Amino acid sequence: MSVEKYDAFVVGSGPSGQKAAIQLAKGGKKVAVCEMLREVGGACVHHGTIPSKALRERAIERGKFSVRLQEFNLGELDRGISVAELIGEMSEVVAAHDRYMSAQLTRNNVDIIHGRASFIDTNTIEVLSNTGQKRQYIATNIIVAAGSKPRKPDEISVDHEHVFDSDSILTLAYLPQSLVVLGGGVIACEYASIFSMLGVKVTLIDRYPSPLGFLDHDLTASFVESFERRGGVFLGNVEVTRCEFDGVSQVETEFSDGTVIKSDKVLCALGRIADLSALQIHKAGLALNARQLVDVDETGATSVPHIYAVGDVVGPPSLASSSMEQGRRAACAILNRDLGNMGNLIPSGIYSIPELASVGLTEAQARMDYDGVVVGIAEFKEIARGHIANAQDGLLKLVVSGDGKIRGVHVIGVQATDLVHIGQMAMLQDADVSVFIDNIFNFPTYAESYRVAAISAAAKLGTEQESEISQTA
Amino acid sequence: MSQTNAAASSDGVIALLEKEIEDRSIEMPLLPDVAAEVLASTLDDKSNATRLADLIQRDQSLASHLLRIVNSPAFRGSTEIVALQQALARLGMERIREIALSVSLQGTLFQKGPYDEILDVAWQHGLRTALWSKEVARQARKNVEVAYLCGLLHNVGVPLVIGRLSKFEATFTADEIAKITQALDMAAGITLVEEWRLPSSVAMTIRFINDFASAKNAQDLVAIVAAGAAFAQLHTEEDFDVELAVEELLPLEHVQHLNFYPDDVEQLADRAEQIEQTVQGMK
Repeated sequence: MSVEKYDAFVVGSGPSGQKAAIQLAKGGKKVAVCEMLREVGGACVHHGTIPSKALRERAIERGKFSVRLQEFNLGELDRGISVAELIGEMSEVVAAHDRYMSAQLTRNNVDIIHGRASFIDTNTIEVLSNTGQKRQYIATNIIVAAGSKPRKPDEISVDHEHVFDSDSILTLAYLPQSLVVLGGGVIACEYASIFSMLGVKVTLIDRYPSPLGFLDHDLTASFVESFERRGGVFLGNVEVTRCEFDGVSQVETEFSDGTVIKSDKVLCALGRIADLSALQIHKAGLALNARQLVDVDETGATSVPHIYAVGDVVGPPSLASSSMEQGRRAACAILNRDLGNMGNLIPSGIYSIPELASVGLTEAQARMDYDGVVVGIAEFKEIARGHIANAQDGLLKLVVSGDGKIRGVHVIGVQATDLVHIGQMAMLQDADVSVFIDNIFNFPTYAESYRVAAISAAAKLGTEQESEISQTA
Repeated sequence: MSQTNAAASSDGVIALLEKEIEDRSIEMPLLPDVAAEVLASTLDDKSNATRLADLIQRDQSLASHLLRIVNSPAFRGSTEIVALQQALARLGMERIREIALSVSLQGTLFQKGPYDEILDVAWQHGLRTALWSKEVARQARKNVEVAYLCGLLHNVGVPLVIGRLSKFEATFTADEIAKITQALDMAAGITLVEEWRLPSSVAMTIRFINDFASAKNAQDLVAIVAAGAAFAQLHTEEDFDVELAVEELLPLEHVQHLNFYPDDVEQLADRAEQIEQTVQGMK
């Protein structure tokens, strides 16, 4: 069997693997990317970012249209529509993404190998094609970017018929009357809010007191309020002990206190685990931790020095943006290059309805790290653009330390995932909060909320800027 | 209906039936009430077990047929099932829906006639495809709900065409029937499911089963049913050859679309016996 040699072999072509491969190739390394699916891009393309965002857009459109129908007393939208129909023409989107990604890899002289990779030893990978052929590759460095798959707890029987996971939920044949969503993470909250917007009675169940625990408390409180205003129910501090089809027509979800709730369908979104079953990492001297993830340092290095792990296989935040940065870090480590400042400020974007975004420290984290922390909050309903759009949801929160530096930016509402980047740029420049007071934004825009929040924060800081503002406001 | 011998040549019959299908004058059986309501309730989120039981009990022949099936080795547990509600509780609404749908369609489309054997082969292939499609969908971690219906009806044009052929005075050889059904089953099937106002996914499956890539947003579903049909084709009453399946099925475009590897086929093969038991149980 002929064995091809590479400087770096990347297992997985999702955001982290792709970014790592291109960075390494640009650094002069001979690189291969191995992808087990037919198209490159990973779960991000097939089950995650792209299709779920397409569904979200349709849900928002239908939500608006439904309101208009009611206003004109024209009845209700047809609920017999399948999720696939709602998502619309995805095959061309996926194909276009594949073409773009493949071209980018090829342009950078990265070899694309389709098949399922498994370790033979610490430097040798065997790839099984989906028609059964095997081929071996030797690499100086290996980056494991194999992605993740939904976690299936023993007490929950996912059958893709009554109980779905976050991959199969996108193939629902019709909108159910009721849906229980298990979990309080990004995926659970995104789907819970999307299906709620589509008119499904959604109950979101989490074992923690509030969902999205890694976010600033004001954001999560605002998210829950918005979700419940639209008819959703959030049940926190709940331990699920059983979840199964009742054999007739409903799925029963039982809590540790004996309570049973019934729903047409259940979405099990209790996190994702590293998808390494085929990779046989033990042959490379690696092992999964108790959370079924790979332990790494800040560069993505595993316990085996020349093997790195990035993206979903190392666990949260499991966002495309953070995965790309992890890929870049691993590549920089292999190339012996400085990581730069950017890596410390990765924004989080959650495409729920309303959407959420965050960069930097939460208020609670900042209070632990800095003295004199103040916050400034601007609610969208107080902003001219929000008035025009009749925004019921939305706020922007600046977390500022006593020295006037911005330590965190947190946004919920329309365009949150874009708006946060303004704050991110300011933080990267180590800007003072006054930067948002001394400069002018377009009017009317949601970006104005930066100015309103900054004025509020500055007032609490009692700075000179505040007194100047109070004279002119 | 009387036909001339000239028209009864296979090419002549194809031309004649093509026209009948095109102008929808081909005799199409009515969708049985129970099947119509079962199908409606499949896509109706307000459906419930009591309503389904009521529907089935309206048709004595269907109810007794269904009880016979649920007491077959493929479905029966330790105790005999004597009532429909008991069957619902034991097997669940989805299974009972599938059985009721299959039985009522079988009674409507696969009636006794001069081509019983061919019809029986077509019926069993549809049923096996339905059952395999569900398992293929599950293995691919896709929703299994619609797979059964689309699998069951993917060749529904065949009995419609054969039913029409049985009205000719002339008889046709197996080769002639194969040629005629091959030429017409897609158009006949689409016409029938449109006439019956079945979900558009069924017509999409029939239209694109040999070209799943053109099925736009139904690509996954059509690939699942096409793969289900391929598994069913290899599955005889006696055997399911795993090695042959790996060798013959994995290179297929629609199987590759589902990203199946040899171990996926091996895992699916483990379900062959259960599928065959179900097929035999529903005879």
